[in-house]
Amino acid sequence: MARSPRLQSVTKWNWRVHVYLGLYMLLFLWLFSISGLILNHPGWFPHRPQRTRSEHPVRLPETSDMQKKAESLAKQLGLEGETITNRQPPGQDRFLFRVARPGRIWTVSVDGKTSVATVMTARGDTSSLLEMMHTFTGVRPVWGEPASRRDWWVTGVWSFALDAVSVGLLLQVASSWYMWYQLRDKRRAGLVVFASGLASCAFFLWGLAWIP
Amino acid sequence: MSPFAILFAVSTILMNHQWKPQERVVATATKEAVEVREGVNNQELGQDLLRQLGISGELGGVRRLPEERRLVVNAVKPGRKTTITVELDQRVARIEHRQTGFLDASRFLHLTPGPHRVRGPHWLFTRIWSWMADATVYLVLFISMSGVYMWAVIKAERKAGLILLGGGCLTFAALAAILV
Repeated sequence: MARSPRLQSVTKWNWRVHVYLGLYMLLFLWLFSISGLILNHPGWFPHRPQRTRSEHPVRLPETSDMQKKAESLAKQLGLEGETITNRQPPGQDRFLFRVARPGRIWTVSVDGKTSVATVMTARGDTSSLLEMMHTFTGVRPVWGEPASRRDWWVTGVWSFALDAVSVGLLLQVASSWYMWYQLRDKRRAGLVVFASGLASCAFFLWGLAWIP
Repeated sequence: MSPFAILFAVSTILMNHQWKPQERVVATATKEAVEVREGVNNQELGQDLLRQLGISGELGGVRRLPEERRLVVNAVKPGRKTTITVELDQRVARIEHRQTGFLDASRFLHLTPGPHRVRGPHWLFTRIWSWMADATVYLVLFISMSGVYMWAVIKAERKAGLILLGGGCLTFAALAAILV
């Protein structure tokens, strides 16, 4: 039976969306796939960060807002990234913060009396860079900030890219379903494979909670 | 593998927007005469307690509170968290099961097994899941490579495809350049 022109057009556009979107997202998909694999196998690439230490005079900003204080000091030191201000040393005239971006973490300790900032730089290898790109959203609970927020504009852009890749992946899945459905002779076999995938995924999502 | 791809995509969006699960207590229990082994590490201690109490799941963490003479052990599985508080002097364990729901289950699976662990996963089902997560990655890589091949053999679509592939590479390179 001949297909209607409208159906042919939908099929063609669906194919184009699938292929072109896939090509556009290719590097992103590979990045998140490979870094996901590295995250799941920490023993494959043990991290050996290179650590360096330096001291710099700074001007302490007159604000009690820790975030603003950290951002001002980071700017003076030429450090760009997400600033993390939790874990202040108790009872000391020191201000401690960290600046993080994929591949590098700076831990800054500023002496309130001498106005000297000690900067510890940890530079990661390629695998830790990939890991951090995978997890770098700026709002990770692991950083232990009372109110997590993205304070570096680049993190906001990267976070948007994460959403876009996720939505793109959902579109890829939907368009692949449509393409499969158009192949009448493959429907039954596809349905069996899809149902088994769905059942095993559902088992992990819902079933495990009921295992005694 | 499409259900698994959906799981990873949806949980990414949840985590990227600080979604927090709504937990509710679904069951509580008390067990007496609990044996707390001494001279063992947290991992062994936690696993031993889970065995004694007949609780399944991945060991989520062990906290020793010596001043309060208490021990807190967490067991986690997709959609459910169990907290065991052991009163060391009385050798009594209070068990609290909390349901966290389907979305939290997807988040848990996305993060499992993850990088911050000594050994494991220990629970059979999280071990099976870790193989499934790996298999999903291998399949994504294989499917994307075969997709590139299938596109490359269609001459009529090469130009447009190359423009989009180049655009994607440029976007990726620009983002990586400002991020790293």
